[in-house]
Amino acid sequence: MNIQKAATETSIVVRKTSLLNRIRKNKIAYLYITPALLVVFLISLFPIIYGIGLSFYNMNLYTMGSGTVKFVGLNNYIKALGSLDAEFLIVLLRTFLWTVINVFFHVTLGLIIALVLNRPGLRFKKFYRTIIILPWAVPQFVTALVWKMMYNNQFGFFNLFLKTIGLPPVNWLGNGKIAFISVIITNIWLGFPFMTMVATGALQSISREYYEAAEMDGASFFQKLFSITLPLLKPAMLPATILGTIWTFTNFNVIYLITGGGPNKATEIVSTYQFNVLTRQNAYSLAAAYSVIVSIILIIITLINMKVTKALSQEGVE
Amino acid sequence: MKGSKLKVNLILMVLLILAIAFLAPILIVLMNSFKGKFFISDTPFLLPNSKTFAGLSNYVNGLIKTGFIQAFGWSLFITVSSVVVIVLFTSMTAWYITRVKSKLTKSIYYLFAFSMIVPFQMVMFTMTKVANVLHLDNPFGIIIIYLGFAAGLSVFMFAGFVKSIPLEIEEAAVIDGCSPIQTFFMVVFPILKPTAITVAILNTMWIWNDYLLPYLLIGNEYKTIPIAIQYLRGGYGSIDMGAMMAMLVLAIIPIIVFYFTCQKYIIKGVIAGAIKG
Repeated sequence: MNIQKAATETSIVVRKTSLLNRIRKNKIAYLYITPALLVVFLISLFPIIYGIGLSFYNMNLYTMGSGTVKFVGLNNYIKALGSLDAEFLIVLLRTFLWTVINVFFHVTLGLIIALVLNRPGLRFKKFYRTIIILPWAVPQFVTALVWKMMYNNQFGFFNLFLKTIGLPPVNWLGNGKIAFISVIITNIWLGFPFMTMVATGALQSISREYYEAAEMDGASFFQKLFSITLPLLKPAMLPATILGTIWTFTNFNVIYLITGGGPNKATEIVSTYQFNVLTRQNAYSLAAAYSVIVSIILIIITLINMKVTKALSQEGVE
Repeated sequence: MKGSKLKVNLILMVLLILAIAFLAPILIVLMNSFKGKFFISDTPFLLPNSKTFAGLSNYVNGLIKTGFIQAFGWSLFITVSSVVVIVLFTSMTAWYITRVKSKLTKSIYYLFAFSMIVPFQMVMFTMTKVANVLHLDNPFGIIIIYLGFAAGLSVFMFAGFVKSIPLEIEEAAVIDGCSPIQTFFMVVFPILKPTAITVAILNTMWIWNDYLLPYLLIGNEYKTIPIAIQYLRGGYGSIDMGAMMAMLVLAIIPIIVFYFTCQKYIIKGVIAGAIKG
């Protein structure tokens, strides 16, 4: 009885001192948050607000030079999305296509490889895992350059290979449609190791007991796959997929370094298109309007992500 | 039983091919870095032979042309300082905003989360302007900018971990007479170490390989490795391929070494980042 009382008393004392301290702490601890907060404010928040404001003006190199920068309302947005043959709209649709194809292959290939690598009794498992994640560690500007070499018309690996087996060469980067497929192939190669990594991590946390129980009941390979493995991978794979979607949507390096958006703008996606509008046409306000549109799309994707993840955690799956 | 053995071998073969496909880019670069520069475009996929072998001349050439050693210095300086600054400040911020609960800290938390999802292109132009006005367009200023871009994800990851630390430990430290600063550095930070390692690794890989930000801000005066290599392209496609390949090899080596030493943490970190992101 006494001990209990003493314990409650100490806990009250602890509460009190910690509360007092926390108030005192508050003052000094403002120093803790100031640097990061200030920098985020300067580097992210302020530029965003500035950019949103800019998108309602007609600022470019010409208007700045002649002093005719003025408020133009929604003109930039109308130019971007106003008509069905607006260049930005086409680029935006291509970006969606690019994202869907890439993410589909990232997830499927990533899952298949992870499942194969997770087979019990497979030799050199560690070696394969290391190798497969390697492209992720190599700087993207290096990989992009090498792939560009491999796509080379005369001396590239792919055409040399086609020649060896007696097939006509393909103009990998010269034709718009084929160039788009080429950059997608590169990006699939670059992107699926990440999914493999996530899936491998999740697979290792699935208890063997589920499978043993299923085997006792005589479940087939596919039954096990669809009713145990995939559902249990969902909590890890879903956020990763959505993160991958955002990365793919905003990917810049692969296309910029391999095709530069060409030939004839046929492989342009929003990030490269916007960069080119900014650096070649110096159309600052127009580029700002593009950014706002892209950001809104990404925020919507993220909000869906948060909702889905929350729904999952409420299901109690983790 | 026999069938399953065949299957295993088949899988092994497919994996082996995949492994080669994954090593290929690195091998191609390595191979070509030892060839004379005029042979690279003719026979990019053959091993160097007595005719095409150029010894280390590409390396020497590239080192002189790019000022690689200097670029290496800048890359190292920027990466290391940025990562130290990021880990220090974002861990403090995360600790504060998870421990002190108020409307203010909650909105700060959402601000960080928001800054995480904003695409770089959105702020590229305006951020460059702000950086110019504030004179952050030098190797020291860029550290601050990296802190700004990394803060979102890093605070998010630290905050997730701080939540799982029992409050009693800190209260005990306070009772023992620790000031908040002592509490943080002597009690909290050591507990945060696993997350700190993950955050440090993710940011190291990103900052070391980053091309766009140094290009936009400091590219002309202070070249980091990716920019120095890009300069080899010269104008109008006159690329010294030999020197370029050699420099690519030198650029990859540090990150590969880093990757192999920290592999365990990298995989953990990427998975954690994905799930929390």
